[in-house]
Amino acid sequence: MRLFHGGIKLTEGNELKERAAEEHIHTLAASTLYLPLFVQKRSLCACVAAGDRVDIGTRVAEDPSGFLPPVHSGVSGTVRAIDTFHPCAEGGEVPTVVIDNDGQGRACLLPPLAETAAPDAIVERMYEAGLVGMGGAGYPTHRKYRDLTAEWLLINACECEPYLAADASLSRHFLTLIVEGVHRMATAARVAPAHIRLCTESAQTAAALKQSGLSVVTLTKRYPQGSERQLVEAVLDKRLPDGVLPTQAGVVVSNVGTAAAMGDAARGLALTHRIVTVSGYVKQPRNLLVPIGTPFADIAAAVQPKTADRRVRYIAGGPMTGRRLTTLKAGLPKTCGGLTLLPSHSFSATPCIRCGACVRACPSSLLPFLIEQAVLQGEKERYRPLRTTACLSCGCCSFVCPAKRPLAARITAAKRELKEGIQ
Amino acid sequence: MRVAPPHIRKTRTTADVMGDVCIALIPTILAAVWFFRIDALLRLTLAAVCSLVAGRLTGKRDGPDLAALVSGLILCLSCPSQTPLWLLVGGCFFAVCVVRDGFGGIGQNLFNPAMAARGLMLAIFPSQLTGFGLPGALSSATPLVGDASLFDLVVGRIGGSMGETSALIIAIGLAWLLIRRVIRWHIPLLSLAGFSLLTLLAGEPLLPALFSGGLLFGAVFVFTDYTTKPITLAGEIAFALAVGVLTAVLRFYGPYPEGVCFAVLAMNLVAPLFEFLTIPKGVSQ
Repeated sequence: MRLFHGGIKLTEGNELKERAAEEHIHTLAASTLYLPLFVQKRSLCACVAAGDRVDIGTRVAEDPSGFLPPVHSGVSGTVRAIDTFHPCAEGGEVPTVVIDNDGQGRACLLPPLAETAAPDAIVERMYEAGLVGMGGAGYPTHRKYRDLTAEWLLINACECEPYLAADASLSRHFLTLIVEGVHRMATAARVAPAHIRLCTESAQTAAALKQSGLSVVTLTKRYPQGSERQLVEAVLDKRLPDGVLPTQAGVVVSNVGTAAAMGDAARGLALTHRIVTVSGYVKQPRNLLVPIGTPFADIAAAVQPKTADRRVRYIAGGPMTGRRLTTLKAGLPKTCGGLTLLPSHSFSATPCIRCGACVRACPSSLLPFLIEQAVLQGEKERYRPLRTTACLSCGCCSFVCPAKRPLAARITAAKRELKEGIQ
Repeated sequence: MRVAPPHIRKTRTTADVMGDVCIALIPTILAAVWFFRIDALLRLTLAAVCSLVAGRLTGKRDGPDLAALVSGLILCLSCPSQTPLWLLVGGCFFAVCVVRDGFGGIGQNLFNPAMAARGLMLAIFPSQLTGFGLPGALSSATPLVGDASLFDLVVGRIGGSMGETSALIIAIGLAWLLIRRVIRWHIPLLSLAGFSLLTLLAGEPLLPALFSGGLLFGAVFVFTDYTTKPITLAGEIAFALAVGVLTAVLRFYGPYPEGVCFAVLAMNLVAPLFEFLTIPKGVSQ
């Protein structure tokens, strides 16, 4: 069986994930969109002002540094205001473009991309269409594919988070779009068609993907299979050294959602919508096709919690790596493929008993308990010898810890500290 | 930290882990009571109560301190059935309050609490701790000599410390710990391998040596103590082989009839070094 080091077997949420994957995709019309001008710790400039008329696909904001691609409106309507402080899914309150939907659905398209478009033209289109990695990390796609010559292209449809099924439903319902996007990406990365692999954990999704005629790899169900380093390890049997990106090893990994967005982009549609699974502590999970920027409150309204009497927590994304939302006013980011409802629950930490569960679960072969100890004792000089920057923030260590220690949170904080120290 | 992911956790807690160790000890406890009757029952009850009280004094305040209970039971099971009660009470308090909590509490102690207490008791009161009782018979000089058949050794019809008589009963506890994934097989198996290797080199008969004394009990319940062994796999392997070899060396050439206790204490001191030397370096470039 194809496998990677470490990881955990998740049972919670698998049944709901299967149910969600079989669901049809419902469209949700948002009356108002909230597009933050602060994305991935970068400030964007608004390209519109209050009172402007916008269409679907109108450029709303762009990154002056050119690192992040522009943001486009997902509805036609009017810019109500540029709100100075609006809650953001990434945390905090940031300047946000607020757009009212007039319901007319006017769209402005980019010219379709020629069948024979060269790699540079495709990368340029990735930027224009606002593509970022849809799997969660949100790395700008045009940056990844710029001047890239790779040997392998892995399309990631694993969706390792419990409950979520956005990749699975996309694979089952939008296959032609995905295939078009995959071919464009292969051209951009100069990968031979024989070196394209579509990767999934689910047999049903694999069956759907096989109709594309491309090679499909079915992987073991194990978390975090959807992490790109673990995907490379499992599919190509190649373990990446710390700090080496897959592209540096000749492998380019993109999420199936990014491939579908690439397919849309080739036809002239900017990235304005995405599929979101709403699941968890709900009566029936849903897959929704929603405009990016739709407030989470609208998305949450599409499902009913299992019981009304119990307080629920709302998680943007899946339960392993998602962020807990303190308010549902924030707009949906491009990278968020799920809204998970979980019953209120608190974990109280007890002393570490050195059972070693975190060590065995870590996909990066770290010693999470030792890094946490270094964090708690303020011994920052130990971070680097303990390879803190190799942490994926996958959450396996915290998940398995019998003492319920917040290992992943502390290690992630230490990693952030190291990375900010470098810059 | 409250809002940080992951938002779901495995249900198993530290108390569950310690509970599993207690369950794994039940067959050994029942066997001890069966073989040594009221002597064992009295001492085990006393050790359980004392260690729980000691745990409440210096350790965990909410709920029963099952880790202390485990230490107390292991200490008691590694003592002979004629151990003076006052000595046992002192040992339990010393194990939990000094060896464990005096060195930072659960997960921080350098020595295995039960073995450190056992070692100290043996060093200070050697005569009180070397009178081993044969089940249902009078004390014999030592369990490690004599004419017990191999069958007797396996089923436990031999003299010895209360928990160390029956290999079969200990194996049930081992099976439970493995099924519940409290421990992995490496340490029990490799410590026996290390012991066997040295036994053969020393020219001693292997099977009687394996099944007598506290070796099997130690391999399952003592060498596997989370806190006092290395946490890395490579460190565990080195630790297990070394503790097995050292047990044999002490048993055949040491001043005491038994080797487990001092072998563990010596290796506890080396475990942090083994762990440090085997920290995974990651994939090489």
